[in-house]
Amino acid sequence: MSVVMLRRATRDLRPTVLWYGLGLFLYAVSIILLFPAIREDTEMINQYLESFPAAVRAAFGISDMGTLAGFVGAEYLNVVWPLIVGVFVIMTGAGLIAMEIDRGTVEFWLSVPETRTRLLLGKLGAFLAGIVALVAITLLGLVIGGALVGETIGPAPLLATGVVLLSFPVAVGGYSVLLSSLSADRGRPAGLAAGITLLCYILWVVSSLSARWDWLRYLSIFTPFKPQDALASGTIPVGVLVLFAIGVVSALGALVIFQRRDVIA
Amino acid sequence: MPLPIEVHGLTRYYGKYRGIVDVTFTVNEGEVFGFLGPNGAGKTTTIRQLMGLIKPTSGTARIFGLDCWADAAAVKARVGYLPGEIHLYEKMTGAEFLDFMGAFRGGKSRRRRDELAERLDIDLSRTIRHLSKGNRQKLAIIQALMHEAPLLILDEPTSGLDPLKQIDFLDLIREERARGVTVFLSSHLLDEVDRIADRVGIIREGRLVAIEDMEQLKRKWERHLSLILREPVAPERFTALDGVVVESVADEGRHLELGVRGPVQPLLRLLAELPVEDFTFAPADLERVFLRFYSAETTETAMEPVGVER
Repeated sequence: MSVVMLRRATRDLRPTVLWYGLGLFLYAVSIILLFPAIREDTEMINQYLESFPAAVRAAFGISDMGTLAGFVGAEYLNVVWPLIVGVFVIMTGAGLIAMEIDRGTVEFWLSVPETRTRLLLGKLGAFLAGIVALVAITLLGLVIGGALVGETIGPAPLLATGVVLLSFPVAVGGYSVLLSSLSADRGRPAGLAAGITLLCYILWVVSSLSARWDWLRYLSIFTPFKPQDALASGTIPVGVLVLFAIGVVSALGALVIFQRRDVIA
Repeated sequence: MPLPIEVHGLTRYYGKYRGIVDVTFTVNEGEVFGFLGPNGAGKTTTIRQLMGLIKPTSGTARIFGLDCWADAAAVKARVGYLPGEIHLYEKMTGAEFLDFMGAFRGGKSRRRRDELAERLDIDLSRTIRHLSKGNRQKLAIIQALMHEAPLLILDEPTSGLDPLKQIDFLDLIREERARGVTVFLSSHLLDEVDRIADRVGIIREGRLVAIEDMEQLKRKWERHLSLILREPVAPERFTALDGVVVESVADEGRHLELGVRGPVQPLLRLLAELPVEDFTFAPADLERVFLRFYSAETTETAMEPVGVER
């Protein structure tokens, strides 16, 4: 890995990560501050939510609003968090290679005495550091928010939530970078990665509607993504390994493709 | 000792479109090699293969004996490169950009960087997005030269520079040559290459049509003189001179268009005797060189690539 590239890419990503992180932190804290009001009327709210169609409940991952994990899962971690972080990883991942080509900076970038693999590894390192930072900031928001409403999150649930949260952007970021390695502009890989992610989400919602469509869940990256369960019980679904594997294999694919391709728009 | 550049049968197609075909040449140590051709002739395609940015369809390109595609990183350690189209990192300042590029080579280039910045008169503290085209070009030139690499590959290096800075730049290249640096520079301007190159390769429609010593080429090329006289003069007085052709006569012999090849002294002596009202003397034009001298050769050599030395 090129350390010079890693340093530069980290510096370039820092403001974006900072703003996303601030948003994720404030969202976490402000949502949790609403929890005491919900906790007092759990029965009524759960009954009210039962009246919603199953599709709506599935779409927002709503199950039990009476616990902090259930509430934070429904209001934040199950859908809103992957949506926000998904935008960051898709835009950043899709631009990792393609934007250099699109903007024409690639000729300077590749004029340095480093292999393409080492240069891309530097960027991937910074990208992963950005993702880890966003997960850490989210966890910090949960801990501080929890403390403000008198709820303590133990280290095991916190660690499990961190691992589960991390798996999602690793997978999405991975295929975004892979698509970026095949393209000469950021728009196309970003659109494709967003399309794949949206399709996964739809498959996940549809699969929970009826036993007939249950098999569709095996096709969705949202299936093993269960931050609510991790926060509630400290369990890490084995399925997150698949998400990490998607990320790693995609990144390796991007490295191989980038090493061999022409890099002129 | 491997040559700075050795290119053999280099061919590149973009799908069915021609990039370059069967290009073969070498560049010797310490020389300035001009790579001349009109826009779209294949200069940048050749250079991008030298820099390992695109893979040859066939043939080989070597720099100091290293394969430009397979050993691209090692090649770049020996090359200072100026791309033809300057797209820089807009958010960086000039200094940040140069530090970034220098850091890949151990960051030892700061002294040379500052010298060049002073010489080219550019403020490195300004953000790149606020720089003019000429200043961006200067920044890119500093970036190519500051590493003190043994080989410079410069694609249309004076593009965007004002005439005074072009002169400064050519002085810089002469100094580099004096230090033993080999320079490969592309241009579509014959007079620019004339001022700096020892040898020149001419590429047209993807094929290398000639490699000449600059002196040899100068004897062949044609400049254009447009002459307005107060009284009519017989065209034969001009055609009697060696290397002068009369291209057109108008206004009853008072307005002549001449093509001039070779030394100009005999023509200047004749002009001194004539009632000249005005004249314009245009530098040699690349297309005219092609038309006058290489169109026949191109046809002949189309089946047979130009050799390393002619």
